[in-house]
Amino acid sequence: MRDLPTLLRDALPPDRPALDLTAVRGRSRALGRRRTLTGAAGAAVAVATAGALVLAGQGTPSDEQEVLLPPATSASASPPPDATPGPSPSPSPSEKPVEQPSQSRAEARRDGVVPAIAALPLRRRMQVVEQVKAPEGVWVLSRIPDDTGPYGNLGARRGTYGRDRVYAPEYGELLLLDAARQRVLRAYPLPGVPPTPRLPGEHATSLLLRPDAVYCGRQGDGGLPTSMLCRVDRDTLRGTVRLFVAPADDAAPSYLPAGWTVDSAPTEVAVFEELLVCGGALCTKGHDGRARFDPLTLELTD
Amino acid sequence: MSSSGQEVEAFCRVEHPRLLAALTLYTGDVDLAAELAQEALARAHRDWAKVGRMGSPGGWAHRVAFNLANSHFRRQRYERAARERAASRLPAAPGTPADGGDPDVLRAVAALPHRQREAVALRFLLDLSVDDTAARMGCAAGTVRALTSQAVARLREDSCLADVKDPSRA
Repeated sequence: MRDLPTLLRDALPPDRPALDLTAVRGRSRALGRRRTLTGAAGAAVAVATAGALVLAGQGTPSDEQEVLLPPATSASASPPPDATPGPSPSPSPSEKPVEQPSQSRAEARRDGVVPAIAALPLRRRMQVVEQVKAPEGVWVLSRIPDDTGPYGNLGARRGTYGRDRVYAPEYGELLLLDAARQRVLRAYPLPGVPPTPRLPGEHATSLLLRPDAVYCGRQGDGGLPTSMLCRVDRDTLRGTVRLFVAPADDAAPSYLPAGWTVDSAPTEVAVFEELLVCGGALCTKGHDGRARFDPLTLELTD
Repeated sequence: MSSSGQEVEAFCRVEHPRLLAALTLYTGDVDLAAELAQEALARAHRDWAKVGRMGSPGGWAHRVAFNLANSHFRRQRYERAARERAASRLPAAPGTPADGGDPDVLRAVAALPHRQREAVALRFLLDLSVDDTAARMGCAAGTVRALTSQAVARLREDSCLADVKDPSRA
């Protein structure tokens, strides 16, 4: 029997290109220039202002504590005993085995979910990135688990991306589940702006529960540069999404689901890594500083 | 050069060969792999103040690089077509002196689904543990075991790899 790691190492071409540090430095500078130039009209101004507030002591680290939900309030694998039923009268878990489709066709239409996603059983549809328990159920920021769908493509191969088909690694959802986390009460698809999985040591909060609404966020990264803020009204369950399309993302959406808005100022600033409450307002925070955002429109406001 | 500048460039020197190897196996295209590796390291260089403080800067760079590769495949519309193109770019004859390596093995790996390819590259080529591979892929350890097991089974279906040993069972 031959050893696979050795075979793989030997299979690589020996004359692979060497590291060109000059090119890395040059490309890094170009990326920095692009960020500065394109963000200056909108969000970069907001970040500079937010940064000034931090320096002035108005955005203190203690503000962040207010939004980080303590572990005791996070949903766990065991169902919470005092949770109230969700708003959708779907069959109970005992009537609906786990391997059944996670949503009916009618529910998928209502939520704007690609039929192929709704047809998946919940365990093949949901991989929890963050979750929080609320009286109406459990809010889950989720990605598609690995191995779902042939080569990651789900839905009609020639349909519109986000409406008829998705590429599983680039699809996420905000889900409202029942308290037992067995059925989907509402789904809010996030095609092209999935939540970013956490690396070891990272503890950013991308899901924020407030009395009137739940918010989610995404910082664009190397592969999918577009950032995003979302809001779901906890009373009406209406969802809104604001995209902050990075100039580098030539795959900016041609199809916008209901309730989605593309921010008018293209931006590549890193301010969307965490959601928090700062001085009574809602803020996003990242490597480039903080920015307040309007709690209804999700526009960056300062 | 500042100590931070020296630090990030030392990081680039360490990570570049690992990124390049993993991406070459993942994409089946050494030129594309070099481009993706350079872009990922440029982003690490730009954001080093943040990336350097992370628990695993290498994990961040690998995640960015594989995301870039995935976006590349998506933008080529369908991954299957991209894989076929990648496979067709490999030398037809095994052991072509100009390329070296073993194109038959690369072609067999290129035919794997992308998550299996990523798992094979991280787990067996870079010799990461199951847990580290899972952290970099953003999935559970059990998923990594399943992916690598499926990948090895599929590789064994190829005549040139029929006698390969499953490293996870060693």
